[in-house]
Amino acid sequence: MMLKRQAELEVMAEAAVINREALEQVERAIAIGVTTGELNAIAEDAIVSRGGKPAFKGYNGFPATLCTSVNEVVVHGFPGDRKLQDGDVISIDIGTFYRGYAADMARTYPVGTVPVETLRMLDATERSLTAGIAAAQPGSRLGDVSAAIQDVVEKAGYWVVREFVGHGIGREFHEAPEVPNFGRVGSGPVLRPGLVLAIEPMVAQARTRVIVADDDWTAFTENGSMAAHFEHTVAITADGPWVLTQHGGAGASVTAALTSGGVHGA
Amino acid sequence: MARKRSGPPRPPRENRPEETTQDTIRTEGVVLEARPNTTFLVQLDAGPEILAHVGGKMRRHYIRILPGDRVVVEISTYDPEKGRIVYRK
Repeated sequence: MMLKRQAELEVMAEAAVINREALEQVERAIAIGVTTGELNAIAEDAIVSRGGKPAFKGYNGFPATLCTSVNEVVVHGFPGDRKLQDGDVISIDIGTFYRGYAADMARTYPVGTVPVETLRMLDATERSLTAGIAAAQPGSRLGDVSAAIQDVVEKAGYWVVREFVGHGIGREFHEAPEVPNFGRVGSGPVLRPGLVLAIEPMVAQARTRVIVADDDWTAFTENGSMAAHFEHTVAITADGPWVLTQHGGAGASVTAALTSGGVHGA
Repeated sequence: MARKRSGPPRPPRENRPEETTQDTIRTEGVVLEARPNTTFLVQLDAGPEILAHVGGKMRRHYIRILPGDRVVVEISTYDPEKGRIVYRK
């Protein structure tokens, strides 16, 4: 497990700001009839124009800047010609390298009018991420984070995807440890200041396995359940979790983050 | 971007196969290579290479496996890429 010094965390915070701003640009473009390929182009422009490098493109052969995962696709969908339809949910997962450090985040968005049960699942997934982050305190254990996520998801009546997990992040896009979204309180390694985790609950509406398609990437629910995915890059600091990819987590812009050296957000 | 969980995902409890011969296919092959964590790359007579670990019964009796050994492998019908070495010839 690689621990980062304060100076490294500050670079990661800058990467996270670029990443978040790019996602916000994509977010504004999501609409019925837009293709996932168009969203990908927006993301790539947004990252590159801010001096970053798309982290996914070429990572283990992934072909694009974004993972666009629609409906029953849980993660790692390829952007392409698919047009968003009324009632879809689309998860956008985005990663940026900046000055040698990575940031990673994801959100799931409803397109047009979406059934209220689906919205409830998106809400539960996001709340589970918040709970996981809140549990990521220095001196706590990784299992505390996992258990906090699982608890929120299962109390809401949804299924935690087991086949994919969050991860450490830093100079490498995927570092140790793995961060499962299920687990037991008090288990796993102790979280120390300087550890940076990509915490990312993936949730399905009903209990299911998750299958990877023949393209080796697209992961979808076996029973066709809708899926949601939310992710933040979170640094463990002596003062608690610092959500690098959250608005206010690293200042409002790259320049603000540069001058202030980062602000500790909620 | 999520990471694929390392190791095979555990199937839900009710359809988790026991370590018996049910839901498995027995076949023979030759050990090509020893891999970390006492797994072995086995070339099946039928063609494919699979990753196999050593069965608990064989561990209990300290039966050692080396590259080149002919072995009997049980393959789960759930994941044809992995198997368990159950006999050394």
